Amino acid sequence: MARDNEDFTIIFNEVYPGLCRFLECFMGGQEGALAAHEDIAQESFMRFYRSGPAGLQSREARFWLYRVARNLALNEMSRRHVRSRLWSKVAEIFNRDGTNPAEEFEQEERKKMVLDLLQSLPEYQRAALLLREQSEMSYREIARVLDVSESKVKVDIFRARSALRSKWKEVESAVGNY
Amino acid sequence: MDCNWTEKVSQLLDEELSGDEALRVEEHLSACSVCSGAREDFLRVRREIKAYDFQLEPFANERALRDILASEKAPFWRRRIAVPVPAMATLLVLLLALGLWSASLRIRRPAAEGARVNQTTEANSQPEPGGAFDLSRFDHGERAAVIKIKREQSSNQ
Repeated sequence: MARDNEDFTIIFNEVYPGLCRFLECFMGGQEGALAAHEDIAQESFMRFYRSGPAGLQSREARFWLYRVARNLALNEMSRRHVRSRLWSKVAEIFNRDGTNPAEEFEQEERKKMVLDLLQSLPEYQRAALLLREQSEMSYREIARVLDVSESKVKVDIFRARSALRSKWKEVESAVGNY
Repeated sequence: MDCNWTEKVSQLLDEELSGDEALRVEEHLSACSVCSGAREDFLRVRREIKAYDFQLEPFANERALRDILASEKAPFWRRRIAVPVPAMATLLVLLLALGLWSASLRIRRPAAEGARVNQTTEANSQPEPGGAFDLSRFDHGERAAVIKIKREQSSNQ
């Protein structure tokens, strides 16, 4: 058991932060999603710990966790019912450091723009692109996580990039005109 | 405006092209302004997504890990076991072979036993002088003796 927990802790420390970031970007536009991504990441790890396949290597465990997390996120998004996280909001307010408010505002706006642009993509394109750009998975690995063919991954990533490219230009020209 | 090679540019950025193909796309890029513009934009998309500022709450990692480790694990018989496909296939073939072997043994054994029984019955079943079998060996001579007596009485009548 001690050995199991040790292995689990190693996998957790390797995968958890990246999984949270993936889920935040993946669910970004949904109401309350910013609070839910950590819950879903934790739930995925909980399932892995309690009843996940035993004896998985770290790499395999990563695929398993991303697949489960994405499915949980899709369920959550379709239900559009996200638990409120009052305490985390309160903690967020109290934990704010003394950065420049203008800088902070700009950063927040930029984050929001990235999330909004990502949300404009179809779910399967968004997932494929995030797994590629943030988690740095190969097409083959992405295909395993999303349970689709490699050629679909290739096309989805290209389409996602092309769509974001043109949307970014639209946003920039709108800001420039403003 | 778009170029037919733009999709290849996307794959080049992801290092998903073979050496020769990558070289060809690189050559094309030096000559095609559409594709080189696309590469710049794709790289920018990459930078923006990678630069997405993400911070977990302080101690969120530790808290989550503590909660998970404190939860109850499923008993081992309810857990799935990850077995690589080749190992699982070998195991199945071995089990199948074992099953066939034991089935063939079962088929062979009754046949051999049947043959042995036939031999012994043939050896023991010497016909009686009267032409009838001696039934007494089946029930230690009790009922057979009665039948024999009745048969003798009826033949005498």
